[in-house]
Amino acid sequence: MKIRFFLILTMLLFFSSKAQSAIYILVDQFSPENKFPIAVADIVNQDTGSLDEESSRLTNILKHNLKLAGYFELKTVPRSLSTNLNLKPENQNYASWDATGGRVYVKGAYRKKGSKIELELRLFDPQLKIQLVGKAYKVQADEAHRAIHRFADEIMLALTGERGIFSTKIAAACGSKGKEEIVVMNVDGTDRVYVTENKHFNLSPTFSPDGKELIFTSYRSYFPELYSSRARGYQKWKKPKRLTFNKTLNITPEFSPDGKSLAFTSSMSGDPEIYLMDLSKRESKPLTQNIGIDISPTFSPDGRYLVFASERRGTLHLFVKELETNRVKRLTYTGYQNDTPSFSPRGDRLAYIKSEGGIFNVYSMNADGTDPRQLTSIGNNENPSFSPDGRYLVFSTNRDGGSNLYLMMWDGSNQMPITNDGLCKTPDWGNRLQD
Amino acid sequence: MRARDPGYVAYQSRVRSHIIRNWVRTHGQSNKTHLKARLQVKIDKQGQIVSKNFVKKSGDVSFDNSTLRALSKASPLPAPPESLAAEALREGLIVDFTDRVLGN
Repeated sequence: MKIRFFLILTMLLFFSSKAQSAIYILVDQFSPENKFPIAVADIVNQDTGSLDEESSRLTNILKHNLKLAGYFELKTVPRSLSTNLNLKPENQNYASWDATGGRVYVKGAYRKKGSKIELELRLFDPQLKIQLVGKAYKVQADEAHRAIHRFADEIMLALTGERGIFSTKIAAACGSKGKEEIVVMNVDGTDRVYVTENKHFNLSPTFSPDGKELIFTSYRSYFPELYSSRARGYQKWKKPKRLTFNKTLNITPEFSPDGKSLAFTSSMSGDPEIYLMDLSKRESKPLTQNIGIDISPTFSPDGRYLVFASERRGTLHLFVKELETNRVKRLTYTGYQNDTPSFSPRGDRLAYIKSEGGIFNVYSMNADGTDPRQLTSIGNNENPSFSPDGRYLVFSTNRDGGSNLYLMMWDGSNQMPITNDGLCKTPDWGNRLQD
Repeated sequence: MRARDPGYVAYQSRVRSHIIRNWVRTHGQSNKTHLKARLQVKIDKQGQIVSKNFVKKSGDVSFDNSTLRALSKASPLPAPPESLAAEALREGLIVDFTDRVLGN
């Protein structure tokens, strides 16, 4: 018995130490160069075998999406590699593609058929000599860009293990001062669809978790009241319905994660407090009761906590309230105005704005208030909202004049505009939709 | 004990930094963390990779592909010292890729 035990023990020791006895290499860091080199061939016209206006239009959408994605370094592709019509894996000249310096490359072709367009898009790895993604799309010709967005999402999935966000939507208030309408747009700023068309001041849209409803503040009946609009199929929204009738201030609405209730700020009883509205009964109850403003509520993804901005300690700071126990904890201590918190989908980080010296910047911190990091530093920057995968933030900024929407990565890198008319503010990033 | 052999340790560290330079990995606020893949990599005495096989995959295709990509780009690896050359070809190197300390 004893001998057998000893034998097993020796065997165990032998096997567990095998890795250590071999020439063992631990690779626990990656290249500091960080960006992933990708070569994108121009999407060739399948019928003519040439590159035309549509080729560059479609290719530029894909390249622009990959730049917004922040992970990639685009490599130049010789024309001969683009015009080559051989898209099949067995016909790839991997050596020439490897020479572009791209660790992966995209090859694509399109063909117009009546009102439709067929797109064939593939992602290859010239080193591993394999196809990573192969997709064929048949869509209405004027919706070709949607297929490109979907392919960009596939590239992200193949290379990062997580689907991209180019098929998701961003809502915002866009228009000249006092006539801002609620709009919904693609992540790259294209396809602006109007939810309101009332020529009044509309602001702060919030998407329902299923992406099929928007609630926002509108001044259309003089007082800032809350309205709701529902999606009607793809790219269409129903006429907004009014939700509040108290003729005071009703602002900064935010859906609960289950979509059943809405937190918002109202001065229906005098001082601006945060209320929770049961959306099926349209009944509201107060969540805060103090002197001074309580504003900009946002729920943690598990629905257990509410983070909001409050003047209860003087200037505007962020607080977190545990909804079950009503326990409140202060999260920020510096700066003059800390406002518009947004939870990361994982619930670990909060993006928010802070004013220092009269300048607003976007920050992020752990959900418990530790590890604050400044993410922006040019102009005034407001209203950050996390992407559904937590890898990006959309925010508004006046750095180029007016107010534009910008995207950046969660760590503040790769800040790029998605609007340029200087007319958009208060963005909200919608969840991924099942299509 | 191998860990005390300066020739072995020096070679180990040269190969490690050589592979790190060639491992381009995208990361972010992903929910998938703590991925780990183990490969057996056989090299000739010039450091040229003769074969690479997964001992254990990470379960994430994008991660596994990135480790293969890193190794092809890294070949040839630093040539093994004479004392290790036979073992490097016959038994190979055991290479663990992990993102446990990476990103957020």
